[in-house]
Amino acid sequence: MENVPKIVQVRLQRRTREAVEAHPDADLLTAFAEQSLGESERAQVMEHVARCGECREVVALALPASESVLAPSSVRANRGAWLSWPVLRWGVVAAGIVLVASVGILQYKQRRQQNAALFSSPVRQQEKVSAALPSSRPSAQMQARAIIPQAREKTRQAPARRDFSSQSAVAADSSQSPNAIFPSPQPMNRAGVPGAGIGSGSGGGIAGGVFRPNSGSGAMLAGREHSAPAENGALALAPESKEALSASSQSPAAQASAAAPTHQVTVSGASQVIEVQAESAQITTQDQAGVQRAQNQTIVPPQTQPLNNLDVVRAKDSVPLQTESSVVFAPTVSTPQTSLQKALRSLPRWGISSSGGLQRSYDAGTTWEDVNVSAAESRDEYQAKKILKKERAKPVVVFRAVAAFGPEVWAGGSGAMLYHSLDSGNHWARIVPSEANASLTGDVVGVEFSDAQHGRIGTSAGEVWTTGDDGQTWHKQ
Amino acid sequence: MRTKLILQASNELVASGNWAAPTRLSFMRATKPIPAAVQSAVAHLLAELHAKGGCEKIGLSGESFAAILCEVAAKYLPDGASEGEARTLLLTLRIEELALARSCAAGNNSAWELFLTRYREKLYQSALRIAREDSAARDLADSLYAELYGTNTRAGERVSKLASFTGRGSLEGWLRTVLAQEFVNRYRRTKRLVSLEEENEDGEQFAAAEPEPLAPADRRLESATDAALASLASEDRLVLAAYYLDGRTLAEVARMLGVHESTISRKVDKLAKTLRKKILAGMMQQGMTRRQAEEALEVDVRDLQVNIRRSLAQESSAAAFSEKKDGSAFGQEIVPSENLETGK
Repeated sequence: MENVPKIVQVRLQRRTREAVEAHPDADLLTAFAEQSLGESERAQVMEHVARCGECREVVALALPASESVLAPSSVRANRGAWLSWPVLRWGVVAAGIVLVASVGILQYKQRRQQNAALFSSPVRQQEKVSAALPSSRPSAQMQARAIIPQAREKTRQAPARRDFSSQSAVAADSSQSPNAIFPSPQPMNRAGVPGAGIGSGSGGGIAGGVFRPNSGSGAMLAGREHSAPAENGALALAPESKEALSASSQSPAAQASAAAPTHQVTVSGASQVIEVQAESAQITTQDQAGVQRAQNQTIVPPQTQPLNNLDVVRAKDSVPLQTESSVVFAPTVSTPQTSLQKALRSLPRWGISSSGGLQRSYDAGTTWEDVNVSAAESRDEYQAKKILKKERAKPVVVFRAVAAFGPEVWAGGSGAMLYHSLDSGNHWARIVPSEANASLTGDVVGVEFSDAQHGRIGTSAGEVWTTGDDGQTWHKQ
Repeated sequence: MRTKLILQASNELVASGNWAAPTRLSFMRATKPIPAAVQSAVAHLLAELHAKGGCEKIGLSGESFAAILCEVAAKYLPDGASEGEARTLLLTLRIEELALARSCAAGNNSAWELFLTRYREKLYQSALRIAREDSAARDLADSLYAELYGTNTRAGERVSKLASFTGRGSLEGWLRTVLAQEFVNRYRRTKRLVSLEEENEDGEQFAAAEPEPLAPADRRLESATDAALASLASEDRLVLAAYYLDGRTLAEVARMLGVHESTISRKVDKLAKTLRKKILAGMMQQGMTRRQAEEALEVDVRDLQVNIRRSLAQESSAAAFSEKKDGSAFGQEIVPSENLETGK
């Protein structure tokens, strides 16, 4: 304990000696020691005791035995200790730290949630879709396994399906009518419900849906294989298509589509056919495709609308729809949740214009911008350049299919063109799938990526290429 | 017989002691006329307090109890106190103990028996703790016991010391305080005798030691110290005096003030530092350089330590008091007024 200077003690004693005033009586001293005096009285006694050594000694001697009085006095002491400033200031510091930490954690959580919403939204949508379409699953699975080869047979065996495909075409035509809002799921469902293939159109649809090709390509496929009976059917059944639509709306899948009421599908023309097929195909491929299906509420670029009739006409003429058709990959639209839409807004939607140009939209399909693939093409690929030269001899690459998974975009088109972008289409690299001596031939009519690593490509030559490593290696099936 | 002797001795002490006279004074003050505010407050609260104090059982009538309450309130309330203050005071009294004590003083046997069963044991225990020695404790307790019973008669009446109990604190605490006062008086008397002898032997030397720090150069130090001490709150001065002069332990000081020991420990540290700062500042204000001021302080500290050692060596008897002696023996040595006289 620190010593005070001697002079302090001397002067303290001097003061003590001067204290000649009246001593407080025993009662007051007792009350003082027991802390039961009022403020003014306590101050008086305190002043006296501070001066008077005798009274100090009396008070000190009269202190109760520590055991007997410790109980009350210790309570008081504890309270004092807890409320005293030294303890309090550490408490304040601790409280401040806790406050800052909790605020930080909250902020961090919020950001993480936002990020999660951004990147996990496809999965959520998938869940939603699968939840919304429980009844359509079995048939969908069946169809998922059916894929293209089976689809052929099925289409042959079930001519009715052509009706559906044709109906889808009709639905495309009727896109301006209110019923056209849900055109795609309904026909598909109907196609799915019978369990048969999806007709010529549906065959293309599978290709298109699964691989996300242009409906046109699908139609072309189907057309090749089945000599385009779908188009004929479509023609023939065009008048019934509406009824078919309405009828199909009662099918479970239709309900599923109804379950997502916000799907504003402004589909038009031939693209509708493709869309529809794509939808159905996606339903059939269920989980994987389902994810994208939910996102792929096809919104056809406005330009295509005037072409609708043309498409139909061409369909009538059994001309492959590919060129005019446009499959639109719209990642964001489908979910009713606006938050998700917001979260996904940073990712563009992808579409193909009626002229086969690649397009993307950052505003949910309201406006579309053309994406020039060749501008940012990779230069180090010699072969790619060679092909490019050839390609450039032609006017443009006609795209038929586009698929996107997050910022990754795959786009395929005529002349075995397959382009890959890792940054939402800002930079592109041409990919030439090859295995052994074989390489991709024909037009790419379908591109599908179930996740960033696994994808399939369908071609007009009937080839199916798969990759399990984000396009590094390919296998022909 | 023996108790009587003791009583007489203690009465002499009381008569000559410093604190006894004021006690008398305050006791006499109680006879002054009762203010109206106090009377009405007592009238208001009498029934409640009378019941609370259990006065019926110990044979205290309402009127006599009212008189007691009036006396107590009038004694402690400042002049012109309001009725509210009087009520507050009355309500904070230890009513039950007050009634018991006054009933005993009035000679009620059942009250006395009750008092004995409750406090007799405690009385002797407290005496033992205060005197720290069996025979002295017994003496102390016996004398107080006699006083409480009221063996001395005045005008044919037995006057009990319990009649002066006012219930401000607990009766038990009051008993301890009275015991301590008694003990301090005795101790001081014997101590005074011893120290007188010692002073006769080396009084001059001792007296010569003191004026040294009071050299003209130190006048400034003195006044600065006085100013610094005066600027402290009374509680701070009490802490300083109890710790540095009386040699109380931190725990004892803490219990005197009803706070935690650690609080006192911090306070003493802080006080020592601020005092030093204030004194230095005061001296520098008076024209000393900082170095001079610090030297003046340092010299004093060294002197003090020498003095402590000397006083410790001289006062072997005082060693029984407390282990921690810095300043305490010194303080007790000088406190007696004789020292003053011889010193000056």
